[in-house]
Amino acid sequence: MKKVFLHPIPIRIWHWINAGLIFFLIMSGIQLRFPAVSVFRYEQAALLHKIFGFVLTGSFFYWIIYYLITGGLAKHYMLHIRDAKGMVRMAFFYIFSMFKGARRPFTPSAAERFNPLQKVAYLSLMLILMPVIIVTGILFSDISYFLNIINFIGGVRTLDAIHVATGYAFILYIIVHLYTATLGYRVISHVRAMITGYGEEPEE
Amino acid sequence: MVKIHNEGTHRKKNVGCKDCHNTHFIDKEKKGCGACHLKTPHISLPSPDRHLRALNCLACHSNIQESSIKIVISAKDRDRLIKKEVVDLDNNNTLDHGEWDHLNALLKKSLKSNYRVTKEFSFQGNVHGITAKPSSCKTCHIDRRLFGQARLRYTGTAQFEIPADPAIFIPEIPSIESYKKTVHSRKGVQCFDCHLSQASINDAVCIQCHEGVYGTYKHTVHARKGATQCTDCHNPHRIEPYRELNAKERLAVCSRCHKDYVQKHNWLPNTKLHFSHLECSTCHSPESTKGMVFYLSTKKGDQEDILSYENLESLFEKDARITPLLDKNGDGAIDSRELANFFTDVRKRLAGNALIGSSIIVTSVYHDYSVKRQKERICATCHSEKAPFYESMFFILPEKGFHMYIPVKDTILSATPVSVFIDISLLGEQKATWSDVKGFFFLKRGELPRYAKELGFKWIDIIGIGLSFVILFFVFIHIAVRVLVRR
Repeated sequence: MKKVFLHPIPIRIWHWINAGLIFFLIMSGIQLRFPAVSVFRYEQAALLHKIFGFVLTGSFFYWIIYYLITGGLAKHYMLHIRDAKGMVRMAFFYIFSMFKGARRPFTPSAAERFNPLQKVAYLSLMLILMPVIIVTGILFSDISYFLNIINFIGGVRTLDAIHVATGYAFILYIIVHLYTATLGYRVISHVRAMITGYGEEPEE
Repeated sequence: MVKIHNEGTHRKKNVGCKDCHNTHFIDKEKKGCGACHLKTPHISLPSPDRHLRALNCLACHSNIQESSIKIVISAKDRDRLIKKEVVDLDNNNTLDHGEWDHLNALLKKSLKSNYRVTKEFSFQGNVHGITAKPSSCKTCHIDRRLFGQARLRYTGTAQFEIPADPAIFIPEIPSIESYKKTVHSRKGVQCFDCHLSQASINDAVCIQCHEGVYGTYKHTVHARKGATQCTDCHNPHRIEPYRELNAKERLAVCSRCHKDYVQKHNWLPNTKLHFSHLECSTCHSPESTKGMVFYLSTKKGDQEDILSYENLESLFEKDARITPLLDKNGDGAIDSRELANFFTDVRKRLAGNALIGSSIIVTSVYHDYSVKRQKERICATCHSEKAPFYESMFFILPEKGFHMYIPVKDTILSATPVSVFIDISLLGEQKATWSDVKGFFFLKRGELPRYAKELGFKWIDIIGIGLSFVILFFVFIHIAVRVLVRR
């Protein structure tokens, strides 16, 4: 087993703060949607959802500014034509060949951290779902103030539908993300990489 | 000028030009009213000081063409909080009673006494056309032919102007004509049933009929410390019965004393939005029965107006009955299809400018407002599919001379197109419940399309939760295979 440096410390800190925020946002969001699920007191859930939502907005800007400055956005996230094949290969690996002990089709390195499936997931999460949920969340934070914009979109109900549908997409993503985090070289490899910065890969 | 003078009462009483003007220096020496009417007692004028301070003789004793009330509030500093959007809570570009009370509380709190309010009752009267009889009280206090418009100008850190309800500054007074339209009058209550003597009305008068309600009210904190008389809150001469007041008008009853109602509710998310859809007793009288009411309205610029019978009559036909147009199958209740069809029709006739407003109001009141829910703040009372008002939803339809409250059936909110309820706030009704899910398994043949449509946005929950379980299922299978092959 060899160790490869993958995640610089600013990203590691961001990841865990973001994880905490999303955890509490999902918990409070579920309660706001279904008051029968009582995690917090309802008004605490409402306040926490609002405050953490604004912190998440800050966290998103931190992420995007960091990658814009370091130039990593294109390097690690840009999809290439070859990734189409890579995606199929990766999916095939997870569904079949990993059980036969086949070699991983992708090895993360400092130059290319994510496999094609990760790229698609992270790109759509960070550049589509995150902005959508942030913008709709900000509109929700003061409905009267943003009423004209909300009515332009189609009213509070449409806004709610977009926000909640995106919220469900987040939940689906989190389930997959948490599970695939155990699919590294060892079960804890990926989690350890996000703490120490070093990924564990098989020897050549 | 001479023509106007000739038509006036001065001419009839032989008061000529020379009596007021110096013939040689017309503009220099003019006599005012006081030159002849020095000791005018105005005995029959109520609150003479207030009237005579704000107005001059011409306001009542001449024909006024143009008049308005101008309110100017000038603040020096520390008023950064006060902006138009903070003052106009419902964004309808008009200051109503409740908003005026809120503004006063806000000024007092943030500026202490560091601001000045001036009220100017401005009008154009012609001194040459003095009328024989003064204008009656109702000119200003009921008909509002005079001072029927008010405008507030704020000058401070922010500068803005906003039209205001003139009734804030010139209160409505009872009149025999309008009394005839009140519920009291329609139920046969005569003047002398209440006005037993010249003394002002006290609770003993109201108890004659309303003993039951009074029995609840007299023991409450509110009765002992706040409004001690029934008439402190209820105006027995008001035309509309209390149940026909909308949430905003009901709120204005409380805000006359509880002016700081917005500041006191800062903890409440979307405070302004809540106050535009609720009245105080929705939360502060827990034992009252609540209902959700819907009404048709239209928008002019930023101002939202509830459609009256006259508006609807002009859209359909004279003396039309509106209820059968909405309740097509005549079962005395409205379902989503009837509402959508009727609304589409109204909107077409109004060239697209129609919307359905809603509020949650008390439909049967329990007169104990002692509950300060400051410690409880139970949002889930309303924000839940179990909220009590879902049991009583009504569409208020104006008919000639009265309002029709038509019960609303089923899941009308989620089932109707978004464009129908553009401003509806979200409570519990468009979140999926177990019964929605169970309903799917007990569908009879041919019911699926209707079921699917009535679910509306609840589909998001069902698909979202369903997909989550599907993915979890595959994850568990993956784990199981991993364990089996030890990878």
